[in-house]
Amino acid sequence: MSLAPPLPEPLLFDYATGASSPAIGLLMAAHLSMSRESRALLATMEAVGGALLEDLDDEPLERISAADVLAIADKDEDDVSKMAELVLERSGPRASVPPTFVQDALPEPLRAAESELGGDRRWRWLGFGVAATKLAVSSEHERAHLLWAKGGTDIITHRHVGREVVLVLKGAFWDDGVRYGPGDVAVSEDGTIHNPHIDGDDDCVCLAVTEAPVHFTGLVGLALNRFCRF
Amino acid sequence: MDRTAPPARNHEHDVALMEAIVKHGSREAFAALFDQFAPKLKAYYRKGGLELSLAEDLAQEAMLSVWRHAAKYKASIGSPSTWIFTIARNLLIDHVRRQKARQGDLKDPSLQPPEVEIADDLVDAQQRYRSLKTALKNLPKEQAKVIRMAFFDHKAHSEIAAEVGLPLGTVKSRIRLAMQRLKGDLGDLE
Repeated sequence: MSLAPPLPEPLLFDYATGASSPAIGLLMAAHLSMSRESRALLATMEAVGGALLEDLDDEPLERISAADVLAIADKDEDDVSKMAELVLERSGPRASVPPTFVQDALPEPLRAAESELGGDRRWRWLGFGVAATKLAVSSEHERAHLLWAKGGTDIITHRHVGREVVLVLKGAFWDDGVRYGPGDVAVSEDGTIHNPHIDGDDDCVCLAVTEAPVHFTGLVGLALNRFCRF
Repeated sequence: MDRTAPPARNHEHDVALMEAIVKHGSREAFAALFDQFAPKLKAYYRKGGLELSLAEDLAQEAMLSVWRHAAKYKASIGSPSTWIFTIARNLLIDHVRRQKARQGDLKDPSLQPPEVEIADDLVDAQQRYRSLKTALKNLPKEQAKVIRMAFFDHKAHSEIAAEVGLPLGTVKSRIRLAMQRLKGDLGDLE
């Protein structure tokens, strides 16, 4: 048995400079996700790119300004959050969450307020093993969702805009070294950046109340942000 | 104290600006970062062969990404210029891909380069930056030339070889030697 030879550096270098073909670029992206060594080498190459960028002579700007960029960002945030709601409610990918499992997880007050849960409890995948269903108690300023995730799920790093309060109904998750089990309440203040992990093999059901949409900051943050507000 | 190293004022300054954006949503900090980088991004795209207005459009899009995704930046991993470079490069890749194939899901996240995650060593980040700048400055001319061509003309090894009229092997070895030198001076990022 022998070890595979190291990755040919030109492949990585072309990727760092942006010269890879789309297919090789995809292959490299997959490779990089599996090789810590290559990621470190890529980081070195990208640092070279950054340093070279700093040394470029300025090209005077004619049409764009920082104020414009900020104005676009302000406008788009409104648009994106409107669009996200539409997608979440109407056309997000359907998730088949075991209904009895969730039903069993609901404590009495939630069952008693069954009407509050909304007649049509459709579950939508948010991605990364988390499914959500929006509850009828949601208002303009505050949203309530039931969240369901499989045991062992690593939830992508996200930043909270507005406070989020989460009640664990079933199962458990870890957040910043703390384990939250059934009945525990986790509060994430505005601006919190975290990366919770579902404990063990058991699925986890939570009730989450958020003041405002959540921003995902991880790998596919932008894509997720488009349909994944809770 | 290493007196041969260029000042790291830019680095510290940029890191402070990024922190102000992430922690306080500072528009002033963003404006300062914009003034510093947008003209360089435009130059980057111009060198990449894009026409003037397109180069500005992409520079604007890149800075918009910087503002929106500021929380993704980690000072322990590298300088803001590195991070901004990767954003600019990815936008250029997307742009080229969109031009080449107008079908398929261009936003497919699997096509995006993965995040680079390296053990945190905040203290070393600034030292690495200084070393890199010094190493770049001291790079032999013929090595510096191919490195710049690669990063700014977005040419693969074989294209560079064709353009400068050198055998492919020579280009490969120049880039390899340059990277070895830069890596050596940078130290092990892990």
